[in-house]
Amino acid sequence: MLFRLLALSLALVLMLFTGGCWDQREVETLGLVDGMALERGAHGQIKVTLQILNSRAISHSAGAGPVQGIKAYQNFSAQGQTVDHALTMLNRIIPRRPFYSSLRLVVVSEDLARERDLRELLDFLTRSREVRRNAWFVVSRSPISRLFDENTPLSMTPSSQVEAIMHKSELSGFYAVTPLSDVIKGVAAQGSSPVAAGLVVIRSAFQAPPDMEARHVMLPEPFQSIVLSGAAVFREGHLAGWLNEEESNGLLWVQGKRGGAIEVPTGNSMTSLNLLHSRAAVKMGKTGGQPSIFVRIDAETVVGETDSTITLTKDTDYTELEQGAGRIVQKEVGAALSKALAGYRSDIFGFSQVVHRSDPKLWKTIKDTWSDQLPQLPVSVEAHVKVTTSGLTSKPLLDLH
Amino acid sequence: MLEGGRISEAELIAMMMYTVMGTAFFFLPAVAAAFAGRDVWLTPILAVVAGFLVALFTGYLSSRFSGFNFFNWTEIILGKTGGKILQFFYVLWFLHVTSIIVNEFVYFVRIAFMPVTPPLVFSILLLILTGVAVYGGVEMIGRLAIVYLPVSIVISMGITLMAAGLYDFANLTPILERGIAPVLAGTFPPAGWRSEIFLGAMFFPFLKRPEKAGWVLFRADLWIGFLLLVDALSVTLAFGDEAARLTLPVYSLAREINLMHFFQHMEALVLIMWFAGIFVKVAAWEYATMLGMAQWLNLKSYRPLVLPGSLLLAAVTNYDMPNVAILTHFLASVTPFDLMLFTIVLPGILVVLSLVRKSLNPRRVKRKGFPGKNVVADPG
Amino acid sequence: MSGFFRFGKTRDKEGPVSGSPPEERPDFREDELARVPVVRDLDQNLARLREIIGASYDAVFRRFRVALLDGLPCAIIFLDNMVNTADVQDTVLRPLMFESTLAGHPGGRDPLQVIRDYLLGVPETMAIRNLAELFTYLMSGCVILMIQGEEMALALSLKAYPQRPVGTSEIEPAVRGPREAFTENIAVNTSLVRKRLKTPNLTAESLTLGTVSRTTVVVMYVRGLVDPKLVAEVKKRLTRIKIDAILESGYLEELIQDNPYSPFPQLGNTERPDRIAAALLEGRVALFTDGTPTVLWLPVRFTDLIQVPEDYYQNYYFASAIRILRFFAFWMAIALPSFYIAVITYHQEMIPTRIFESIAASREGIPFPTVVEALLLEAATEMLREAGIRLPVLVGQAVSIVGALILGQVAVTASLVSPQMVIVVALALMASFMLPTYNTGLTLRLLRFPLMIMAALWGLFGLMGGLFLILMHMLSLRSFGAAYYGPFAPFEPSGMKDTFVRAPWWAMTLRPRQIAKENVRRQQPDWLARPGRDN
Repeated sequence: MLFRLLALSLALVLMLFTGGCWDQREVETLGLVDGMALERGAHGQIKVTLQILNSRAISHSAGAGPVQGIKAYQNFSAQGQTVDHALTMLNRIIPRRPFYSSLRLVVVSEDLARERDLRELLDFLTRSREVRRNAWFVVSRSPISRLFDENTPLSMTPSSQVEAIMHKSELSGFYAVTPLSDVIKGVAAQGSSPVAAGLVVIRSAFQAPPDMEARHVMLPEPFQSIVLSGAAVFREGHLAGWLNEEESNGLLWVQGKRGGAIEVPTGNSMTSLNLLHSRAAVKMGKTGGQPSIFVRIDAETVVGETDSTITLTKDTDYTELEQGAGRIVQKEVGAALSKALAGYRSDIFGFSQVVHRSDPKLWKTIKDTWSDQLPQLPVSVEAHVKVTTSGLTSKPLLDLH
Repeated sequence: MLEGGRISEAELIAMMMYTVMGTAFFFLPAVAAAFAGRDVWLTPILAVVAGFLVALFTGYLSSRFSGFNFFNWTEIILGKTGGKILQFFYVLWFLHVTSIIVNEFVYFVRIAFMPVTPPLVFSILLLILTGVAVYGGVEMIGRLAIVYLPVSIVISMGITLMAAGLYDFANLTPILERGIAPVLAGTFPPAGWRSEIFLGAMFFPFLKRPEKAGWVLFRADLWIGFLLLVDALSVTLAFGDEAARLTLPVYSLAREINLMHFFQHMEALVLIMWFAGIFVKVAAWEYATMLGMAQWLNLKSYRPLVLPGSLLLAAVTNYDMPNVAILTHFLASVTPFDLMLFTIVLPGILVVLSLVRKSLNPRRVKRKGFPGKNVVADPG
Repeated sequence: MSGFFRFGKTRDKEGPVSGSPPEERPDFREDELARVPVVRDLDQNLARLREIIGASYDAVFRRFRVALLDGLPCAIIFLDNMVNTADVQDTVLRPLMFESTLAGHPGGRDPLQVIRDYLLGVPETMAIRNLAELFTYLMSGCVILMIQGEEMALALSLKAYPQRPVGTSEIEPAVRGPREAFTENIAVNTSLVRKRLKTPNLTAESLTLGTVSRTTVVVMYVRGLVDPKLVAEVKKRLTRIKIDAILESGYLEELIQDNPYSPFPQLGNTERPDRIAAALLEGRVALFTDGTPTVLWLPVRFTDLIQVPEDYYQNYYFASAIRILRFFAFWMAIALPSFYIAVITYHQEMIPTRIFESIAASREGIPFPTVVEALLLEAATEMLREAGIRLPVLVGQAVSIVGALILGQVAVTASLVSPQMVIVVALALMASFMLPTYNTGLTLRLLRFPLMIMAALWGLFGLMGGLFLILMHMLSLRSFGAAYYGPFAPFEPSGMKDTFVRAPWWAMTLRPRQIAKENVRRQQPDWLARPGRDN
């Protein structure tokens, strides 16, 4: 009996020492991947760039910024037939083991997005057990090398800078920023297409991003900065085109995510209304056996600033503002609808889902020709904007004399 | 004496809940959604029927021959040789199902957590632990189940609640888009799993009032149905159509939780729940296997069988199911019928036979005893 | 020099240090002594006694004569410093030697009877017939009175041991509640409990254990509340003990516990009388050991290990919250370092990104893998802790400062350990001290090490497997018939009022069922006066 016990214990102890701890990874051997970029490589291959965080650069005293003198990140690139192939190639040059759980940003260059199908490009990301779906997805209008090699004193790496911008935009409702999960949902649903935010790197003074007019943004010189610019519209997994600022706003209205402010022309100048909430209800109706879409948009605003002679003390002033705002909303949504549906024939608003849910039988009959029929899809928009308060003062300063 | 322990009704319910939900909680939405799509949440409701049938049959047999377990009933109703033959098939079936469960566990771990470690490590670790539990007897397993049940429920409900931000009720519509037939097809796997509460029929003699055992199983079935409903609903609400594509829906759900940017990466909780659930489930099945084997061979105690039995299980597990596609296919298509054959059809036949015998021969059979005494009543 | 190298030659020609040659004295065994009776001849008795203990310097032999009985020769024998010599003088010597004023001459009556019934002022006297009994009393501090011509001697209880006064509990301090602690004197200890439970049903039975130490052990219980089978079992196990000495209650604990191989304590121990009183009220049995302030109580369950008497005195909301915290502390003490190791080494994706970045940064220069780092730190903290206990107070301060500095600050700066690991280990250590009984903390710290190894080998699975093994062990433990993991398994709903939360006293109407068995009702439910109901 005692012998058996001894033998068993010996076997167990030996097992301890011969076991290999196969999945053991010491933390310092991991390379935290902050950002991943896909662009067109030579000979029709995909070039993958990984931005890996240099943990030595993180200061011990828990600051957000990097330690001075050490570059906080390093970029590695490799090419391959598929994304996974390229990643395997990367193993030859990266001294650490890539760790994707902290991946914040997935960037696809514009030319690759036009050329290749998004569904192929993203397959790796959906399968991997490390990648999280709340990473941000963007399309870059500038070369990746410029994007990934930024000097970003406020953030650790360019990827985290972009992430911060995206997060802030999500909260404040500028631009159609999309996390990876939304992109995957968009590609997966039949009939719908995803939309993604666009990025551009602006260098030197007074250059305006392509979607904006120069009066909106003026950057001091010399300066290089990453700017959100426009929304990328996809069709059948390929990049079809871009939405400019106004059209992106329209998209946000339909998604119910618009934030920021509406500029309403009043009298000779403008009144700015700050949006508190915005909601959109999309319903389907049938006209003569064909579907039509009704969109109703509700928004609640307060007066942020006015530089006109509108007095804001009378009820009718508010009504006038509301109507003016409503027209702006209609304009923006109309712009978005015409560009996306008619111009690109891409249903980025999710109308296909609405039809599918409301009338599955009808959907079955039209789903194959849905995207072709998009330009003819009747969409009516109703906008109700409410202006509730006007801040701490009522009459504008201009009116005091 | 094969087993001197006693368990309470609550403990039996807890054991049965783990017996089913140890795996069903994690696999159900995926497997059933492959058939039923978005309407997968209906399947746990419909699958109550399977559990109900099991409870009905075994409950009747237990009230008639109380104090005996399923293996005894086979001998009572079919005679000694017939019983032994049937028991042989049941022992093989127990062994097979247990090894499938261990395989499910091993695959889950390898997909989600540690891909490089050889699968044998996980199966051996698990089997050592369950071997200790089985050695401790039915009381040990019952206590483990009931001690851990509140934790499991809190964690699973917690995950469901925390994921509420991801829910989109529009994902449920259109309801029954393709009609009721796919839903029914999708109900088969969950029904098969629900009928696993048949395992309780091996434990009936350890209750204080075995004649009420049918009701105990029924209550267990209802609880399981409720929890699986919540499970399927939450997965569907969060993922919609995509649920069918995911191999491990609850795990993916837990990964998506992001509350206030602090409660992230909750998959550790899923791992804890999973490990404990599988552990109790395998312990219960392994115990039934050992007990059944001991009864079949008319042994005095099942304990000497534990070590060789575990080795056998490890071997079978290792050679079975070489890749996950086979496993999933097996679980979706073969398992329901395999399970329901042994848990519903055969007991149903036994019930019918016993009724027939009773009507033919009005002398009543009533003898109290435990599997340990290997009392086989004379059917007359 | 020549003495230095005398390796093999250990036989000393000289005697021991005292200089006088050691007497060749056989040791006297009890059964031999029992066969030697007290004889009538006083001198013979005294000679025998001198033979046995004469060499001890504190053995006092005093011959005298009783005046009243015509100068009957007597002698008292006692051990100096174990008796109250003032009392010896007043109650024995003086009445016998001088103040024999008795109305009327006893004449014709048995001298022993006269002495015992009329002259001796001692409260307690016992009769002795043989030397075994004699020495039992003599070595315990009684005074032995031998009378010429009598076959019986008397033992007079006039004990006065040197002892500590009743002080405050150092190991189990409390903010609210009595501060009294047990001392090394068993009589004092039993009386500390007696004054709290003044019922005649409080029974204290004494036993003598240990062939050399002859330690008095007292079994205390409340008759009517306790299960008689439990008392019988305790006594059975105690009487089965055959050991040379019981120096501390820990000996008893190991000798009578249900499972001798388990690291978990199966008997409770405390040095506070109020805890013992509470335990007795629940139908438990207490064991006092002479010579130690640690009193044992049984049966004990897992939940008792994380309960403190103060819980019952403080506000119950607060007590419930602290109990929950303590419960977490229990698991933290066992599992926290292992959890950290497992997650850092195998499951990095579970860590929120920010924390992960800082961990990666801190681990940059460290030469050890995480496991080794953890084990080193743990070993170091255990060494510190142990050293802190052993050091004299004067030195302790300096060493603890140095230890904290070296361990905490310098090790981190020198990149030997990472700051996160220091925090983890420190937290776990604190958690183990949060538990009321010191020995529970020891168990937890001990169990931490195998868990760390398992976590290092198999990640979270190793950890969970280890925890389950511990859980299964606890589930199979019994403490004198009560299941260790109750009231969870088997489930006892009324017990839930006293585990994670502490229900107010008016709600705790039942005693723990597993322990009190039959006498479950503590108080009538629903008697509490509430506004609007009773007036």
